[in-house]
Amino acid sequence: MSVTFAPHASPYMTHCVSSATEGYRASAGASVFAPKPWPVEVERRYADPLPAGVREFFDGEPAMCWSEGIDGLLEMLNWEDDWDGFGAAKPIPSAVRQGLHFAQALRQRGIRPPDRVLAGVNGTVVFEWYVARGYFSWEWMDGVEAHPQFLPRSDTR
Amino acid sequence: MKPETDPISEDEWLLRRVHSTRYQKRDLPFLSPTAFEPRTTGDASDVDGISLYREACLSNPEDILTGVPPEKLAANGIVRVSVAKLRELGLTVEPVRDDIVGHCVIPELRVETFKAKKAEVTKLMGQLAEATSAQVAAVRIPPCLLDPA
Repeated sequence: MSVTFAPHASPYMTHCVSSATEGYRASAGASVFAPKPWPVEVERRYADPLPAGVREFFDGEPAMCWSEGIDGLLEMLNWEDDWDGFGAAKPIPSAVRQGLHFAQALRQRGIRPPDRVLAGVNGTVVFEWYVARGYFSWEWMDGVEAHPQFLPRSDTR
Repeated sequence: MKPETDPISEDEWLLRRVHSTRYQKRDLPFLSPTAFEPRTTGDASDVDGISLYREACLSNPEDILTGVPPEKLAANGIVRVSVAKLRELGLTVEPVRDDIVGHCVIPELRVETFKAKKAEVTKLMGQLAEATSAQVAAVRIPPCLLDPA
């Protein structure tokens, strides 16, 4: 299985990124249920120290712990189309798997858990944080493309 | 009850179906912006805009859950937002006939716009989530989230 890892989860990125274009391709373990050690390239990519201010940005008390988020992601692998009763697309397996790697990477780097990990109605996988400065989401469109977005507090009022 | 042929007035409330995964039990805002995400694929694609229902046209708010398979009902809630609030956010609402009476859409939150201007639309979704996280907006909390005690 080949999985492409995205760049750092910088809270300041508000544009769509594609790690494929940056060449961070690595071979991952065969099973997401028993993650193998990180490939060297990935370790390098997510290596400490994180960019200044990233850990501090994710402040506040999380509404869930990492294991809840990861369990939720694993559950999504079993969902079918119309899981919500209104025609939502089933979560895209590659987006879920990428979400699992992403969650593991953030947990290992000491980033606080998100407040929600959910499936978008179009099959994407979304991580959401409510922080002092606003709302930050990281959406996996598939196994390659991610869409981070930050809404400053003033923008949601 | 208002007939759905009546124009949508500023003092009306609009109802939106929201899945339990869009809620959180913690402090406000408890609704995710994704509760207002346009569907881009399938038969339920939001080509005209995301769906809402005029509360004034319904005898029971839960009528908008008509057609949801029984096993999925407990995972669905209902929130409401005023037409005035939509206007304040720069949004419009248009009636579109549907199987359920009082159906209307927000054209600014349709597939085409969502794909072309995702960041802008997500900001609007965030503002709607904030507005519908108020206590007055909680018409039906998904039963699966309620504490049985």
